[in-house]
Amino acid sequence: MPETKIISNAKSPMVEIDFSSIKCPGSVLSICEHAFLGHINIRGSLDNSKFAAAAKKSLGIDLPREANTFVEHNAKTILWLGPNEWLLVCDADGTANLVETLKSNFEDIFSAVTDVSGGNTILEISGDRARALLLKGTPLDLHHSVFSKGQCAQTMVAKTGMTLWQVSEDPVYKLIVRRSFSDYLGHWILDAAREYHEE
Amino acid sequence: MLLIECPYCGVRDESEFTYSGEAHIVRPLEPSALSDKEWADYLFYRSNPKGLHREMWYHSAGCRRYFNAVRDTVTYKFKCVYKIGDSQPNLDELSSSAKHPADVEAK
Amino acid sequence: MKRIPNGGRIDRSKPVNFSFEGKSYQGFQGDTIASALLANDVKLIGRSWKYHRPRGVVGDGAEEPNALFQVEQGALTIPNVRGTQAPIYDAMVVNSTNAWPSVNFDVMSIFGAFSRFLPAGFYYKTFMWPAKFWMAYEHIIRQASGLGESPRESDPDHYEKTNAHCDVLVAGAGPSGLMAALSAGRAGARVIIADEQEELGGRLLSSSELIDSKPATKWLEETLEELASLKNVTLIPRGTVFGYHDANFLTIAERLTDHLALAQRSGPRERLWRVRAKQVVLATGAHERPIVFGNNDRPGVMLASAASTYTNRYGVLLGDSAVVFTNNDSAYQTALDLKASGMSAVTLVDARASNENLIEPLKAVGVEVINQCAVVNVIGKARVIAAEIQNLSDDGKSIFGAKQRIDCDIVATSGGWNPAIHLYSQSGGKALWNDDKACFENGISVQDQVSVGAANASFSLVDCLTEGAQAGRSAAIAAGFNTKNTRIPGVSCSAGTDLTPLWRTPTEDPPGRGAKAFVDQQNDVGVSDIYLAAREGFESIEHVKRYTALGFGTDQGKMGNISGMAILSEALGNSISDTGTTTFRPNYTPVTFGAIAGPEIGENLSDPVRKTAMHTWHQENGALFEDVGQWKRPWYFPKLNEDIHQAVDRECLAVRNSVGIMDASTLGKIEITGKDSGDFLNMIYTNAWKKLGINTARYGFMLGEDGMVMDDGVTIRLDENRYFMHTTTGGAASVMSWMELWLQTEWPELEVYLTSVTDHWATAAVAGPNSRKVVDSVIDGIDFDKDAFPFMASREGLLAGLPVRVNRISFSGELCYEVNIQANHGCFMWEQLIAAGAKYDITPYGTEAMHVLRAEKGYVIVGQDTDGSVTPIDLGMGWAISKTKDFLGKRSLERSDTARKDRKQFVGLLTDDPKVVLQEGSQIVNNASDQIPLPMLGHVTSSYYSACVGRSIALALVKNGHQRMGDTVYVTTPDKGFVSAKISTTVFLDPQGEKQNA
Repeated sequence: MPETKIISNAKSPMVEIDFSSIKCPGSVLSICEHAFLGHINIRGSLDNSKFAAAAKKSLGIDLPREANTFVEHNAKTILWLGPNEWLLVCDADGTANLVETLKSNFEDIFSAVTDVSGGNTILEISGDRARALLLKGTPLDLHHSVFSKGQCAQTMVAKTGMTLWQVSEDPVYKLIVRRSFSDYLGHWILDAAREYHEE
Repeated sequence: MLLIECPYCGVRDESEFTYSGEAHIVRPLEPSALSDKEWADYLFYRSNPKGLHREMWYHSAGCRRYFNAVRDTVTYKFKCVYKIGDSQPNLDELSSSAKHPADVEAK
Repeated sequence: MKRIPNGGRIDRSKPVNFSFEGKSYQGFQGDTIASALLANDVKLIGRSWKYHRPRGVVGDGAEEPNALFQVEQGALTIPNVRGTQAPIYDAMVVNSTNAWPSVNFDVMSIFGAFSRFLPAGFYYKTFMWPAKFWMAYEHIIRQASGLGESPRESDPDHYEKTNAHCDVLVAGAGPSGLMAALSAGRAGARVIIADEQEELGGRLLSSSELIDSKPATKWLEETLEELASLKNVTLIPRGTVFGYHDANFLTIAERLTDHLALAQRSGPRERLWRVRAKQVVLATGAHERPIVFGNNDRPGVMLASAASTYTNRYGVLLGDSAVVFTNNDSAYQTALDLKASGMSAVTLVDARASNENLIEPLKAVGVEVINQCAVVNVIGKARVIAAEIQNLSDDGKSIFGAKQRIDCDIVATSGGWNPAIHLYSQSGGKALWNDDKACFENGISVQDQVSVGAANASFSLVDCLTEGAQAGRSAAIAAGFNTKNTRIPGVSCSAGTDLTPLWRTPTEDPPGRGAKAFVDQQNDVGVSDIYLAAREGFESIEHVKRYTALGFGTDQGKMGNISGMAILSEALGNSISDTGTTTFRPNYTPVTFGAIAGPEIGENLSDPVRKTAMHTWHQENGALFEDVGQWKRPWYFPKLNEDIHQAVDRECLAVRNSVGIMDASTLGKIEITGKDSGDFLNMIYTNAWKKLGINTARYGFMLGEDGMVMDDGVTIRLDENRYFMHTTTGGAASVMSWMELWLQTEWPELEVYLTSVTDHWATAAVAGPNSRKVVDSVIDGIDFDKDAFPFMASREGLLAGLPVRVNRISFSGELCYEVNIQANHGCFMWEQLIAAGAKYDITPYGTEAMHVLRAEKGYVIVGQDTDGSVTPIDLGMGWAISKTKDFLGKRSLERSDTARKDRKQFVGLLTDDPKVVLQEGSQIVNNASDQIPLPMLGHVTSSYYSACVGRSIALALVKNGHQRMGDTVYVTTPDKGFVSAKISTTVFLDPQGEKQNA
């Protein structure tokens, strides 16, 4: 998958990491960065029906109530982060408007909407070895009977945190890492993938 | 390496959590009305029991929620977890219901 | 070559050449170092560590105390490789670990002649006094004894780690482990089965028994095939389960390449598995124990089971004649195996009375059986020549009659079996003594775990298979699977397991005299040493262990420990169960540091390296970096030939005289949202927040409840219900969790949400008299007029069309604008500012210049000038404390000790010689000539040469310092001298703040 690391005046958090140096067929292991997306942190309580309604009005879909799950709607992914916290991932272009829409619909409702787009980047990891690669660093059980499509989790990977979700059973995983840790994680992944080269 | 059940996220590895000390230490409403000794009781003194202990944990690498747990300081085993604000479990009931095998000498 | 013509697990069509002690040998594919050496009739393989006695192979597995080798050389060298388990490969270089200059001529063996003078505790008694010489002695002792040598070069190999989860983890792939894996695997459970050996199979690999009327190895082959076909079963050969921790967390070290010739190796050398199992089945088998007798360490004395293994599994012809000495039934099979290997004479010496049923099959093949006798001594030095036997009394406590000599090449001995309860013990379980079986066995399971087969003191093959099948099924059911019984395969008549305890052959010699009889060969602990310890008053097995070194070393006493405990009980007149065992701790066998470290080594991976959005620019422009927490921050930007002082002086002067730019992205940033945010900040900070104007900033102190400064920073009010907090770089995460703690536990009624935005923003601090012109030229939509945008104000604008927030705050005391932009644009913003500042020679500066600039103004760095024992009042910043509201830590400021007037207080220090720069951390005293011990007044917290002030400056915490302005004090120097200095204000430059307000 082609990666865009630099656009006119922006650099992706993993600008120095070259995942194409992993010499594996894509069916074995494929990794790419999805930089420059919109990331919006949403806080509020679903016990407050006004908040739930305002969120649905803004997003066109209910915020996921069930722990460790995410929903996708209209090119937006909404991840459950905690009992009163979600992360919305969307196209960069619509981010500012969406923040404003949410804020205005939440007016007077106890809530918080924060643009955190600059602080995150997303990796997509797929292939037969995707699960094995992640297991080198995460204590989470990724067996399909435990963690499968539609699920997400915040956990550790190597010595940093990540938000992980599974988008297909193939498996295809996506994960969010904080910008300042992303170069570290990139190096960690390049190292972890070494044993799968030319497999 | 313990397994800890977060009341929000479910069972996770210990590496996702941070220990946060004894639970149910309530901050006095009017600190200025307290004597030095009373303030010190709140500030410094903890029960430090051998056996069941109510304590706070922080799911620092997960949902970032604090929660309470009852844990046996001898065996390290968690007896139960409960949300902040939930009523405290009765330690006597917990200790009598599940005696740890290590306490039993004979096979 | 000493080989049996056929049979065993070696591949006679694949010869393998290797060297030992510089001499070439040949073995076969499938050989271990030990089997290959024995097949070459090399019996002397090393020297003991204390007496340098010649030693040979004793065991066939992890219990081996002697056959430890130094394998390979240079960076690849591995010390203390167990030759009983390590396979040979082509061109392998093997050396003895403990002989100098060679095994056959060892200069240290002189110690052996003086063994009477080297008893237990000898080193402690002799070399511990005077204590300061121990270091020198220790060096020589270690060189003389040494157990292998560490590589001196860095490890060229790569190591992997992985986490794994399963329903059932089976440790050990002998008959019981395989049956457990099979029945759990057939049920559909996720199974991991690991075994430390080169091949899965455990005792089946050397067994001559039949299973389902087939040779055991045939059954093994079929079972492994079925297990491999089950997708839910993971087989890990060469995988030692070495640690058992809380909540069924177990660790496995898997060796991936050590069995391959160097040229054939690729990929990682080892993989560390961190396994979380719902259920654990311990099928770790048992270790045979020897009977202790005189000179029982002579090369050629080995365990009976090992003799069978070398014969049956490796096809080694161990000699022409053997004596088998036993107190139990299992060694009868060894006598049969040895006879069948082609030996001309095999004699079985049984300490017990005769039993026709046992003897019959032996007699049938010509093995002589002698009952109620014991081997008392071994003749021969570098190898066994003969055994001497004597009659044993009925109670086993004395010997009598004439010594009878039996010439032989090996003495195989069996004193019974010790279940390998190491992992059970690590799991928290308590080992119990079983008098009937004369062994320690597992007590109650304390985790979701069960021990089976020999590990459970069930030694017969049929019991192993049955217990394994049951345990596998139960574990699968406990993990949530439904399953039927697994059929137990039929077994030909299993060897008996009867035993009469005999730990050592009694002797007629007084203690400490006569032939040395070894309990722990690796540590050269003899029966006499244990008796000595008992005589000197040691009673606890834990103390005796430490006094004699029993059970230390790389084998951790797997062979000798239990015998040692039994002999101690005998010496003390206690029962074994009263004496008890020492605690087994991880690791079961030694684990390489490489496996433990895994890939997490080196500059990039040993610890996370956090980088800002401008990091590449800093790198490209020659920055040297400083670690601040996990962050890499530019330390200074040296120009050609500049040292740190020249660079920092230049950077400081540029900020004071024109303009500098610093990457401030690493400061923690937290958005605080909700209608109660002001009330919340009032509790978190010492000062008041509710009246702060929108787009205005304020400095705040955060205290712990103990009243001590925890963090500080500037917080900006963004709108009515939203604040933007800065924390220190190192304090970001802890401040966040501290605030969440109070919100979630104490004040859940407050409507406040916290969101970390540290990574979202990239921040450049543009500081200096020309900073206004620089930011004004690139940022639109902000009126930078000094009155329209005053100090401590915040504005939003656009930089090349991108939104920025500009805060007029200052940590340098200069006119300064901190520009924040969405971090993806951080580098772009930085380059724009650098370009705009070119005409003012804008100078990037690092943390060192930042430290100097703030010290010139007396600004505190939390964590450098404070250490968790400093209040804002101590810092002379009582003005930041609200008198009218409560806040966290307030009550503590009134505690008698905190409220003392003469606490250590924050002051400036000016050395009398302006060129002298004090050492940070130096102690401060009133008078250098006072009597020692001098009362300490405090210490220097920050110290620099200030180019702007034109002299050295320092900050310090000094007792009662605020009342001592102008006093002379003395500061220690690293060369044990003193420097005089005067206490001053902390502000060395621009006390009115005219520069930052300009």
